[in-house]
Order: sequence, then C-alpha cells, then structure tokens
Amino acid sequence: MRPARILTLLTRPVIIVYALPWIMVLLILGTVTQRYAGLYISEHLFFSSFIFWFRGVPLPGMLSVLALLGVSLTAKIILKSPWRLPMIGTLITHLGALLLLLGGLLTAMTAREGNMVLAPDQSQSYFTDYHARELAISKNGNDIYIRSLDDLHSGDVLHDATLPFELKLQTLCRNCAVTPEQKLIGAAANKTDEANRAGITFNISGHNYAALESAPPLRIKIGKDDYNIALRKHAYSLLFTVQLNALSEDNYPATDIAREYQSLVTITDGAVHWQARIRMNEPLRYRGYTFYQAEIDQIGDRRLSVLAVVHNTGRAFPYIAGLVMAIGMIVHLIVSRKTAAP
Amino acid sequence: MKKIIFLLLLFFATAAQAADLNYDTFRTLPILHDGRVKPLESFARIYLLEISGAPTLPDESTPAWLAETLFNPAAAMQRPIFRIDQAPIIAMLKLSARPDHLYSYAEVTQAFEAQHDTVTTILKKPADARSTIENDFITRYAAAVDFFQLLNATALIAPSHITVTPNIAKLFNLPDNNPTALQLLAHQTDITARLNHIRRAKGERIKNYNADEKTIAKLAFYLTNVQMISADNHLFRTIPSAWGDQTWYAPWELISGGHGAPQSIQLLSDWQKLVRAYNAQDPTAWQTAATAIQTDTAAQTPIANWKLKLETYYQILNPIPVIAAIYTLAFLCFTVTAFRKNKLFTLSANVSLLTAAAIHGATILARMLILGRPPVSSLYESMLYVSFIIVALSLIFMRRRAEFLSISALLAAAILAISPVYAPQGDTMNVLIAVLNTNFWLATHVICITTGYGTTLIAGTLAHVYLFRPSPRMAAWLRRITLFALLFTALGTLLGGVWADQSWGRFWGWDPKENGALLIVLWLIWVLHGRMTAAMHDRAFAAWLAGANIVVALSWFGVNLLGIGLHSYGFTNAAAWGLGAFCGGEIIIIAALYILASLRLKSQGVSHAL
Repeated sequence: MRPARILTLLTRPVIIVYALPWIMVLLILGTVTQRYAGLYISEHLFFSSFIFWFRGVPLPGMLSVLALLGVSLTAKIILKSPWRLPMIGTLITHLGALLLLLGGLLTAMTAREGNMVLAPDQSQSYFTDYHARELAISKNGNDIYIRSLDDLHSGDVLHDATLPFELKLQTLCRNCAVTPEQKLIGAAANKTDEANRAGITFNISGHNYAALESAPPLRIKIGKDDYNIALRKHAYSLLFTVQLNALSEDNYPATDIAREYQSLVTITDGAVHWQARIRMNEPLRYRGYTFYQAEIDQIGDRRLSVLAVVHNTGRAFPYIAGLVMAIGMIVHLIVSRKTAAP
Repeated sequence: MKKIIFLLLLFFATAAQAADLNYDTFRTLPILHDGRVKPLESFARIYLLEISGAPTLPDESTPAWLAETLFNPAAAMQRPIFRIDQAPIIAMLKLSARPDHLYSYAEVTQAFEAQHDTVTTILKKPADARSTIENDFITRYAAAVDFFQLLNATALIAPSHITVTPNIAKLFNLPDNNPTALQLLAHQTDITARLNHIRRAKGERIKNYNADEKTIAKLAFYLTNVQMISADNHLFRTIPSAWGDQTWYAPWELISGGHGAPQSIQLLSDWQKLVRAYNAQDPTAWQTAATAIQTDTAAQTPIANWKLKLETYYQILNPIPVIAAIYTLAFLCFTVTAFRKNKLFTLSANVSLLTAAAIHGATILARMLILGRPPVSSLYESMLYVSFIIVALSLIFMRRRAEFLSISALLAAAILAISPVYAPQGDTMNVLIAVLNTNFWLATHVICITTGYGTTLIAGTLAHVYLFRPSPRMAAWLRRITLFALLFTALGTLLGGVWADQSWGRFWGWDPKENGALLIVLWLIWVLHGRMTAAMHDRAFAAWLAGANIVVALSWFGVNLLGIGLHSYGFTNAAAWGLGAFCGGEIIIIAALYILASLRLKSQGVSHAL
C-alpha cells in the first residue's frame, strides 16, 4: 500500500469509532481486575501494555490503540482538517486531545514515582521506587553491580569484571515466603505490589544462598573484601537532602478520623538549607520533584512519615491540554449554536 | 453487664407523671459526635435509626425519646423500639416473632446475654468471613451496645433512688434523698473507708446494719457501679473543653480525666438540673435548665447556635422526600399536558417544578451552611446535588420546552427517591477524611464532574424520548446537549487530574472512580463521533446515547461497589442489586424502543430501518 494511501486511511475519523469501544473494554476489564489482582497487575495487563493477551491470542493493548489514535489525530489535524471558522472549535479540541496524548506518552516514558520513609531527625537523599526491585552487590560498602529484577530469570549466570565470582540464579519469586525449614518458596502475590517481598536463591562457587527483599544483605567474605548481596527496591538519587524535623497528625475531635497530617522538613541543597512544611493537599515541589504527605506509619513506638515522591517531566501537558480542550469545546458550542439549534 | 444495669436501675430515680415538657431548646443543644458538633436532634435520629430502623417514632417525638432514654432509662428499657425483622436472627435470639418486629431493650439484652457464646464466636471471625446473617446479627448486637451506652450516658448526674438518712446527709452535705454520683464522688474515699469499717465490724450481711450503715452501703455500691458503666462511655460529649482545644467530654470522662474547670463544672451542674427537672416533670425548671446549658456552652466555646437551629429544622422538616414528591407531581402534570393541552395542568406542572426546585436549592444551601463546605462530599450528597443541577439547567436553558422540564422532574424525583439507599446510617452529614478536606477542589472538580453526570443523564433520558417519538428538532437538541455533557465531564475529569497532581504529584492513577469518569467521557466522544462520521444514524445515536445512563450509573455508583481506590468512600453493598436491576432494565427498555422505532420506520418504507 502506498504511503499516501496509508496516510489517507489514518485520517479517517471512523478509526475513533472503532478504537474507542476497545479502549472502553480494556478500561472496564482493568478496573474490575483491580478488585481481585490489585492495581499493579491490572495496570500492566490492561493499561500500559502494547499487546493484550487473551487466552494466548494477541489483541491490541491500550498503548497500541492510544498510539494509533495519536497518529490518526496528528494526520487528520495536518492533512484533513478544514481550517474554517465553523470547524475551529473542533480543531482546537482535537489539538488539546493530541497534547494530552503526548503528555501521557512523555509521562509514561520519563516519570519516576516512589516514596521516602523518614523517622524524626532522619535525613535521606534518595527515594525508592514503588515497584522496581533490583539485585545489588556491593564491595566494602560500595555498589559495584546492580541488575533489575525484571531482567533476571531462573538459570541466568551473572558475571562481571567487577565480580570475583559467578552467581548462578536458581529460583526467583516476586513474592516469597520462608518455610519453617528456612527455605524460600514462591507465594501468592499481594494485591498491593508494595507489600510483596521478592526473593532469589542462587549458587556461588558450589554454595547455595538466598536473598530476600527487606532482609539484611547476605555477606560473603572473599579475601580481604566484604561483599554484600541484597534485594531491594530501586533507589533514585536526589541532588539534595530531606530531613524530617517533626510530624503531626490532627484528628477530628474525639475520633480516629484524620483531618490532616503534616511533616516539617529541612531541605539541604549544597550550602543552602531551609525549612518546609508538607501536608495533605499541600505538597512540596522542588527541582521538579513533588513530595506529598502520603501517610503516617507506626512501627512499634516509632512514628514514620511516608512521603510520596514523583518526578514528571510531562506534568505541564494535562494543564495545557485541558485548557485547550475546554476552550475548543466552548468555541465549538458557541460557533455551532446558530447552525445546530433548531 | 445486664445484671449490673438491672441492679443499677433499682437505684435510678424514675420520672414523675408525664408533663408537657417543651423540647424546642433541648433538641438544639450541642453535642460532639463523630467529629462534628451537632444538635441533639441529629444525634437522636442517628441512634433511633440504628435501633428502630427509622429516625422517628410514631407515638413520640425524637427528642422526647432521647430525653427518656438518657434521663429515665428504667422506662426506656421497656419501650418496644428495638427492631429485629429477620427471621433467622429472631430464631438465633430465641425471641418470639411479632408483627411489628419491635422488642424492648430489656428483652433484647436478655436474649443476647443467653447467646453470649454465639456472639463471641461471630465476633472472632473477620468481617468478610461472616455470612450476611452473621453480619446482620452483629449489627444488631452493636445497636444493643450503643443503646446500653445511651441508657447510661448521664449516670453520673442522674439522681439515684437512694433515700439518705439525716445523719449521712449532714455528714456528707447531701440532699435528703436521691443524691447523684457526682455529689457522692467528692466523698468516695470516706464512703469506702466507712463501708470497710462497717464490714469488718458487722460482716457482709446488710440486714445486720443500722439505717445509717445501710445508706453507706447503698451509696458505695451505687458509686462503684456508676463508675463501672461510665468508664468507657464517651457517647454523650456535651461539655466542651475549657482549655482551648476542640475536644468535648462526656460527663464521667470530664471528671475522671481531670479535665474540669469552674465553667465546665457549671455546665455539668446545668445538665444535672435538667435531669432533675425531667424526673420531676417540671416544665419551668426544664426550660430554665435547657436555656442555661445553651448559654453556658456558648460562653465556653465558639459555637454558632444558628447552625444548630438550622440543622435541627432541617432534620425535622426532612425535605428530601417532600421535594421528590413535588417533582413527581410536576412530572405527572407535564405528562398529562403532553397528551392533552390543559392550562390548569400546565400551570400546576410549572408551579410544582419551580416550588420543588426552590426548596431543593434551599436544602442544598442549608447543608452548605451547616457543614461549611461544597455540597458534594459523599455519594448521597452528590445525588442531592446532581438532581438539583438537572432541574436548574433545564429551567435556565430549556424553560420553554416542556419535554425537557418533564424529563428533569422525572430524573430528579427518581434520584432523590433512591438517595436514602446510599445513606444507610441516615443523613449523618459526616466529616470529611483528610484527602477530601479541601473546599477548593470539591468546589471545582466535584461540582464540574457531577454537573457532567447530570447533563449526561438529561441527554440519555431525552434519547429515550427521541426513540419513542423521534423528531429532527430533538435529534439536533440531543447532539447539542451531548456536547454540553462532554464539556462538563471532560473538564471535571481533567480537573480531577489537576487536583491529583496538585495534591499528590500525579495526574492519573487508574483509580476506579477516575476510570469511571473517563468511561463517560469516552462514551460521549464515541457517540458524537459515531454520529458525526455517519457511522451511526440518528436512531442508533439515540440508542447508544440512552445507554449513557447505564455508563453514568456504573461510574457514579458501580465503582464504589468495588470498594477499592481513593474514591471508595461511598461503598454501598446493599445497592448492588438495585444497580444491576437498573442496568438490566435500561438495556431491555432501550432495545425495545430501538426495535419499535425501527419497525415503525420500516412500516413507513424507510430503507435500512433496522
């Protein structure tokens, strides 16, 4: 088929008439699945996949359909949209929709989300991803080898110039349980992925070992050097430090219902430092990062402030797109009033 | 516990012959309950609904019932108001079935006491592992516990039924008879010491004691039991803190926690006078004490008495069923005029619609004034608002089109009629959880999205009318209203994303409610593009648009049934069947209307009619 013909086909507005019902189906399936499998699995299956596998049959995933709509919309705006006054509202609205899709694409590609858990007086210059786990090997306290858990499979042999040994992966589980015999076995995944504890069993120089997320790292001494092998959530470094000074929770009088909770923090960026307050519905924004007061956790007597941290370069797009679409629809309603009204 | 209360009741004074007490001031007195200061009228209705299944009684006013429960528990225990209407629970409790399903607390508490093991076994199970009947059984048990707390809420200041001998009265500076536990507390150490001395001297048998010693024994026994039943009773928080914080205290909590101050003790004394006035059935003393409580509470903490009065009147008037009835009347009048022009019916339809809309608007305004926030913070409130916005938009933009006004009256009546299903604990006007506690975003995103729900429902319902009686004019109107609906739902959804980004740093999180709102937007975009691209003719467009009602219902209520995500605050299990019936019914109706419309066109010789 000639490129011109393909372009013409792509500009056909009927594409949306067939694409939208499929998006709605995925949306409904993904929403209902959340009740049974949690958001993380649901999102991967239905909302952020190019291919949706249904009993072994590949069907278009949400990202494929959105990409098709984006291309179709672009082609239509460039090639087929009549730049006439009666159509101006529609054009502006479509432009806004395109911006929204672009913003979504940028966010999907670049956004980093995680959290930072701080006890009073504790400071931290990194935050950890909600989902991404990694195998980290350090030598004398310095990370020398890091691999994403998603890239590892049972039977893999890991070797690297920095490592004085080969690590043969035996088993790997997203959520593991420890048996009374101290064996690591796969367990049913939690609906909330953050609650899962990933684990691996492996062999080094004929000896079997296991590593479990959130457990102390496995220590191996080779010569004079100490090697630590750990499974952990992926950490993103910050160019500044956040220290928790105080945290407080305000409940409605005589109830356990939280009205507000907040953290007082000190930001230290180089030689500069200042205090800031992070509270529900009033996040702190700095250097493109947003720190949101997600919850206050209690472990024993210790109260911990859980700050959700987000970095999103596509953040401005939905604002602009929303404004453009709203203007477009209002213009369309005004312009079409004379022709549409009976 | 049952034995304690029965024994204690022997010592509680009983009220004199009933007199005509005026409850107008009493019902507006403030109480801190569920995080909010509200009038006793609201407080009473919440518990009456929980206990009896209705917020009012047929033969007694709500504040009169509350006063009796608080101040004359012996009588309140015998009043058959405790509703148990499920046969399996009646059988579990070994009660005899009654036509009115009403039992007294005395009967119910005895029945639960006998089934103590069953209660314990069920309570040990996680809530989601219990059967429906077990959950209902525990709900009834919880109601009995709440009733028990109510019965003993004022035990500290209630006059006892103990006649004090002159020697003891003089010794402790007590009234001749009926001292309260509050009056006795100051002498508790002395009373206990004297009783111990008597027991050592004369043993445990009270018949060996002389009159003064018997009085000491009764006072000690009474005081110990009041302490026992009051220790965990925090229900009656009517005394504001004197120390500047927002806490209010129940009588016992105030004294035992050492929170008292001269002004709070004055208030406690006012309440004590009220209890005595009730027991004496003295209308003048009753009114004086109620007024004193009102004045002294206001002097102690900044409360707006006008808000308490407004909420009291709101509860008494209970406007929602009235408004629904007037909307129904308007719809019926409009329906008559659709078939036969009649000036009287036209006038009646317009007047009743305007009247209902005016009361409806005033009702929403009253709720905003009472709660100090936009009127859309719960599923129930959103129903009140959406039904109003449907009528308001029709009256503003379509006031000359009877079919629009008729549809808006029908929709508003239907939404209001089912709204109580989504407020199973009654119209409690609950406080907002932290994440929703922002007036700005409630006033923008939620108002916008619920307006979108309303306009989509207008479009969807008019689409039904179009299928029934198609006309080119209405087809054009349908497209236009759908555009309006798309504007509000899309804007509302985007504003929701902006709220999420501003508050939590992310625009979209695939939360079920977000997905539901997106589903409506996508549906409207789909039908509009289907019509614009001629993939749908007017009839198909109308049929799919009529289906938007189902999409709105699923998005508005259905996702809350999933019980997950940030928006699961309106979780309503009981409504699932109703929602299913609505969706099923709508599919059948739309399909039938579409087939009939197609057959009609076919009979007229129109090609591709089906």
